[in-house]
Formats: sequence, structure tokens, C-alpha cells
Amino acid sequence: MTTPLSIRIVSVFIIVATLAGFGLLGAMGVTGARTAMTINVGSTSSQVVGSLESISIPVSLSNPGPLSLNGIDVAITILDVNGTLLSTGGGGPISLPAGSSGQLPISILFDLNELTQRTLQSLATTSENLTLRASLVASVSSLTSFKATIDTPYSWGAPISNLQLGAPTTSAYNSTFAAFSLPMNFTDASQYFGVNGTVSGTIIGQSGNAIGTITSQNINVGTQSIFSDQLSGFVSLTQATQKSVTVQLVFQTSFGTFMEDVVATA
Amino acid sequence: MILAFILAGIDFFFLYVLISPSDTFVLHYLPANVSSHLATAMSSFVSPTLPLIGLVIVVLIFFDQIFKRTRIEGAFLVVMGVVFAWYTYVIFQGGTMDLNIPGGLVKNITGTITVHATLLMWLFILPSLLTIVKGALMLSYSNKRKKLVLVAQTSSV
Repeated sequence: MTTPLSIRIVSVFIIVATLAGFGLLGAMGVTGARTAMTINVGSTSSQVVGSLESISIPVSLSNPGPLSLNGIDVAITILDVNGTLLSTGGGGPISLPAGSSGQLPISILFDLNELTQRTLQSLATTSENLTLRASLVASVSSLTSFKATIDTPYSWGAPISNLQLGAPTTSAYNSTFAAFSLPMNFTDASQYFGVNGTVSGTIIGQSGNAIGTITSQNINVGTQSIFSDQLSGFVSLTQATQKSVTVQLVFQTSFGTFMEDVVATA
Repeated sequence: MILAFILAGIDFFFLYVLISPSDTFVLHYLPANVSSHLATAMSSFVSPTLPLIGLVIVVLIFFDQIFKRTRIEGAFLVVMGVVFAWYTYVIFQGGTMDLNIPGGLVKNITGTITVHATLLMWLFILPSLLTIVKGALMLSYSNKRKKLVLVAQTSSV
């Protein structure tokens, strides 16, 4: 008893279709996995254009797999701890034929005009964990498309963090005011933004009234470095003996104007 | 019979044990924190009906081996093709698969992955459809042979 030809042909087709399915699945897996292994993130840079602070992240990748990758598109949003949208960005779409390499420049934009003063102040002075939400869309050889959305903590380093004032020293100036000198230091913990601008301020006495001023001084601090300098100004001679005062500092920088109250103790 | 048990055992492992989200033994060999998150991820990805369909396939494979080269083998193949196609459809979630990444599975990452793979799903369903065709051909061949035997018996009488 022999098996009819038609059944044998169908059996062969079953084997071929099964092999084709698993072969294609394997090729897609190899393409995705091998491409993922080639992703290389270059050094980031930032620049200010008008009210836009942009961070550029160059990403290079290549596709050593057997299938092409099409429509690779990345979208990024950054949210603060309250879920407020701080920034949007992304890169692509690009296509990577099999065996090719490409660049996927990603830019993240902070539109300072879109942020409230409170949010800006918090970003400028508080290092915190923000949420980075990234969406990646791509298709493998037009056979399968996928979208992955992930949330991951994004460690934000504040450009003006750990602000500290030392003990002031006063010296006679005239019959109404005493000159003073006040050590100040802070850390620019940001990976992207330096602090360029001026710092000035007002001295608030224990009664809550202004008793002196801080002379405007230029500051120019690079990313991830420490600023340390002496502030100078004048304080009312009658109030110069107070043990503790509040120093209301005003930072005018390229990314906004911020006020920070710090207590200085003699 | 031994071959039937071996094949059914192998299929039982792959089609039931491996994919059963709640009690798959694979999870028992992983650290407790990973296995609980993986079980959560699997339950979002693997339909609860999938292991049950897998069990049906195991039973069908067992009886297919038992009834090999008999007249009802074709009928078994047709049923098996239909159930396998259903299994594949459920695995592919109808062509659009959603996978949640629960917090804790990958450090500091939560999210979702959506895969549109309708074409791939039909490619994987194709062998099941061909199995149905093969079963139908075997049924038809077996009926034809039965008729021929009857005719031969009648003419010899």
C-alpha cells in the first residue's frame, strides 16, 4: 500500500511551511538581537536657541541581520514627579537595510516658555528622579512591526544644587553701610547645562525687611563642576550685628531667572 | 504505543508545562523575585486557554500515533490541524501581541511591547491548514479504498 502522491505533496508542503515559519522567526530574532547589540550612544551635547534648550544624543547602529529594519522611530517624553510634561523629543524615522549602518540622532527639547516658573525653579535647583518615557517603533522587513514603550527613571542633576553660604565678614564702609563678603558655593550637577549669567540678591533681616544688597556678580560654571566664590555687598550698619540673616539670591541665567533663599549665619 | 507516549510527553512539556503561567516548573528554578514578575508578565502575554488547548493537542497526538495507518487517522489529522491552528491563533493573540513589562522584571523599567505579526501568524497557521487538507485527502483516499475493496469483494463473490 503506497501513500497517494497528493498526500505526499501536502506532507512536503507542511514541512516546507513549518521550516519557512521558524526560519523567518529565527531571521527576525537574529536581526533584532544583533542590531540591538550594535547600538552605540555617543557623547551628548546641549545648546540654547531662544527659549529652547536642546539636548542632542547621537546614536549609531548597524543591522548585521539578514532582514531589513524599517521605520525605526524613537519618541521621548520626560515627566516630573507629578507627571507634568517637561520635555519632548525623539529621532527618526530611519531604515536600515540588511548589512547597513546608520545614525539615529535623538534630540530632547525643553521649551522654557512652556514651563511654569515653579517647574523651572525646581528643575534649576533640585536634583531629582524624573521619568523618561521612550517609545520605539520599528518594523522588520515589513512582515512584523512592533512598538515598545518603556518608563525608566531619569536622574536629573540640577544646575544649581547644594547651594551653600559661608559665614559673612563685614568691614566698615561709610556712616550708613558696612561692606560685607559672603562665601558662596554650589554644584552644577547637570550633565547638559552650565550656568552662565549673574547672581545678585537682597539681605533680609530677622524682622523680615531688606537690610542690604548683594552686588551683581558674573558666574560662569561648566557642567558637573563646583562654583565657589565670594559675594560682596552692603548691609545697613545698624543691622550688621545680626547673627542670622536670610539671603535672597537671584540667579539670572540663560535658562531663566531663579530665586533661592539661603540662611547665612555669622 | 511507546512512541505515542514519548511524543505526547514531549508535546505535554512544550505545549502545557512550559507555557502554563501559574505553575510552570521553569519559574521554580528562578529567583523568587524574578519568577513572580515573570509570572505576571507571562499572564499578560499567555492566554489562560492556551495550556488547555495544548492539553487537547497532546491527547490528539497520542491517539494519532495509536490510530496511525488506520481509517480514522485522516479524521484525527483534520481535528489536530483545526486545534493547532486555534493554538497558533491564540499564541499570536490574533496577530497583535501585547506584553506588559511589570516593574521589577527589568531593573528600573516598566512598559509595554506591542507586536503586529498578522502575516507571521498566518505563515505559522499554514502548516495547520495543510494538515487539515492532508487529513481530508487521507479520509477521501480511505473512503475510496474502502469502496474499491467492497467492489473487489462483490465482483469476486
